[in-house]
Amino acid sequence: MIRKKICLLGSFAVGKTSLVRRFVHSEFSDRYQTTVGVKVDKKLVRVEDQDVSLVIWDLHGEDRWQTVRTSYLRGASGALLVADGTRLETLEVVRGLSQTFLDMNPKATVRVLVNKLDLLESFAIPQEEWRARIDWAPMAFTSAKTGEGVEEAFEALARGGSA
Amino acid sequence: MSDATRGDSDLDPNQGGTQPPDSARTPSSPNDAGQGADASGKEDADGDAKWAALRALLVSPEEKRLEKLEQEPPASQPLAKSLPAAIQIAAEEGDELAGSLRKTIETGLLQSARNNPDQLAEAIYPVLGPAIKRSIRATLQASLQSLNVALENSLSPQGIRWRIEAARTGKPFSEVVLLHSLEYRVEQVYWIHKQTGLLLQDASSLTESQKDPELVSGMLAAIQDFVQDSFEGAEEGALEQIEVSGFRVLLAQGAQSGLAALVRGIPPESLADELTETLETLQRRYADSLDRFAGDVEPFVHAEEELQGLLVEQVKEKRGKSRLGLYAIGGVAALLLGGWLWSSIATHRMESRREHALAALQAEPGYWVQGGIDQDAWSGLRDPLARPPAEVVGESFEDLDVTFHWKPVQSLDPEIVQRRALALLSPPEGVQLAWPEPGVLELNGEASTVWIRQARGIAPSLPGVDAVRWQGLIDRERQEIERRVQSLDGLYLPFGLGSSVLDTARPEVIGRLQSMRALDGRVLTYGGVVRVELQSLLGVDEPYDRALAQRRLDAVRQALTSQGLQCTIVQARPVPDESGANASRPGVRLGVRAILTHPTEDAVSR
Ligand SMILES: Nc1nc2c(ncn2[C@@H]2O[C@H](COP(=O)(O)OP(=O)(O)O)[C@@H](O)[C@H]2O)c(=O)[nH]1
Ligand SMILES: [Mg+2]
Repeated sequence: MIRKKICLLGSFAVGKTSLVRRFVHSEFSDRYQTTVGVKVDKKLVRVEDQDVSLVIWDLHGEDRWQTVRTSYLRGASGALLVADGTRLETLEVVRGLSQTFLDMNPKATVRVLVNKLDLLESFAIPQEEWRARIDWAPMAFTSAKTGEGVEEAFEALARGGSA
Repeated sequence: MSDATRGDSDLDPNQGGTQPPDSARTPSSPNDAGQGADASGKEDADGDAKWAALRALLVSPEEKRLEKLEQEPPASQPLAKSLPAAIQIAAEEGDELAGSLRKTIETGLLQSARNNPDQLAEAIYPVLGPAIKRSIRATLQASLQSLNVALENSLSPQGIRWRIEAARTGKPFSEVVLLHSLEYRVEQVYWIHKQTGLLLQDASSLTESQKDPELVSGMLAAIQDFVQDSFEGAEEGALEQIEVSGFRVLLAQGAQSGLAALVRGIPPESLADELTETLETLQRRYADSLDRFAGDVEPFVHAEEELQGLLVEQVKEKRGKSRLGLYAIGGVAALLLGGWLWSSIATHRMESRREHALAALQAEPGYWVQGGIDQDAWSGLRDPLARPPAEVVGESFEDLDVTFHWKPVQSLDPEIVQRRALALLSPPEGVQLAWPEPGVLELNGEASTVWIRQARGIAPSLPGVDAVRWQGLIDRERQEIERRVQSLDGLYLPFGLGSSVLDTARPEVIGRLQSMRALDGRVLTYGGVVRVELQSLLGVDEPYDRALAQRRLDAVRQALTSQGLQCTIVQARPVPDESGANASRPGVRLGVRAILTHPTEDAVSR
């Protein structure tokens, strides 16, 4: 059995927690999350006949500026960097966090998710524009609400990267 | 190297006899000149010989010296042979060699530590780790130990009560004893990879475990990170133990991995040592796999046996058992005796006085008496907290012409239970104990943290106390900290227009920094850490200048840390206020919070 640590990073309210909830059934209470600033979840996926257990760290930015406790990033083999399709400013945060994350885990895989795809008509910029701006990492559109693209996003991380 | 060595060695493969001009340019002995000519081809041997003769004529003395010099490098070989012996001799003769080597070695070590601290840490951990652990534990657990002692003393004969309780609740007797004697059971053990927080292997004594070990492992790692961040500088062993509703999580940490044991009850100190030992064994045995660990936990499956060894259970029953036997025999014997005695008829006045005394004792809380009016020796059980017998009877046993054999017992009479609670808890002024229902203890009022922690350890294990209500109890220190945090939250440190220099001579700045330091110290003493969020606000008259805002953040961070504050500083990215508006005065705003790591947080604070 392979175990992998995955981080979810991004601005406040982009939908990190909703994405995890969509992907796994969350178990730990919110109280724990707000105290320590991270929520740990787990999901078993199958990749090429191998069981991979994804241990997902949903980082809860405690402050208005979404500074993250960098020690929580340590040892992760991948990260989902989440932006909110309706808020362009969330992309800048994602870029900064990606830098921080890769500085700590140079061999890890990152993947940018532009979330809230179900709100396409209120997107800040059109999809092609998002795609063009995120040319520095693999990206995908997701909706935690409808579930679109969610499973694929996590499974892509389960496939790539080393611990 | 030189031509002198070229002929007989391949020390310098780049030159190895392929470049004729070399031999012409370089001075060499007649010997070498010959070899050089050999290597460079024979066509100009005659010319070379003439050159050599001329050279010998011109530079002969220098040539000699050069030759000597050139001989020196090979001299390191014999030196290498004699060095070990030489060092030994030098060492036997005195400290001189050590003295002259010290500086070099120290510099080397320092450099190594600076370049790769982890490597050095890993190297010295096996030596220093256990010692450090022990000293930290000694400090941290002093309080726990005293609690242990207190509990041990309160563990006088309760066996009868436990039997009754076991019968009443249908629980196995051992379970009841375990619950009451506060001994311990290690229910789960997790072996956790330090860097990733991933579970390497676990073992459980429960048939079905409610908690997913992988999640617990991640959660523990997060808590560990959190605490380590919060107490910057406390690298190893920052956290030795966590308490979660009735459980205690014991932690042992090594360089690459850690062990966590989920324990019910109060474990002996030796358990922590066992944890550390097992961890060290595992780290040694699986050193290679740990080095290579990239998520595959297959290599660690057999570690489960090792971990199983830690799933111990200790039921403290030795004393309880033997006394129980005594009581059982004593009880039966007394009943038989009593039955026979009661069948005889009391006629004397002495007998009526004795009858009165017996009745009084039997009615008194904390007594259980067997005796008879025509018996000169009575026996029974007496709780040490009960009123003295003479006071109960109103006259001494000598006057009644009776000898009495008391065995001490812990009584469950509500009155005695309450008296015992008062005696063992010794509530300070300001705390009231109430008994809303039999067996339910309610604590009200304000008390110090120290007392509350002690009380929380003692109260639930008091015989006759089935439930404790803490809601009415206020932790005075915690309340004070919360009040201060509230008053300091949003604290503003002003800067001059366009300036990033924090004027620490300004009285208001001095005062504010002092308040922060005072809070920091208070929280540290209480157990916890202050968390400060810095937000840089540009003034109305200042243009947006990210760099300036950043410098101000740095200046404040610097000011806080140079005061020796232990707080965690979260330096926010310098951005304008959320509203986008600038502040009326440029400055840095402090968001202040206290994260109190009180082990019994949930119940004490309100
Ligand atoms: N319409 C829509 N709303 C979403 C989606 N994902 C999250 N949200 C909402 O966005 C808000 C913030 O989500 P949350 O998961 O807490 O964000 P987090 O702070 O990144 O963890 C919540 O009100 C969610 O219901 C999505 O895909 N579509
Ligand atoms: Mg969240």
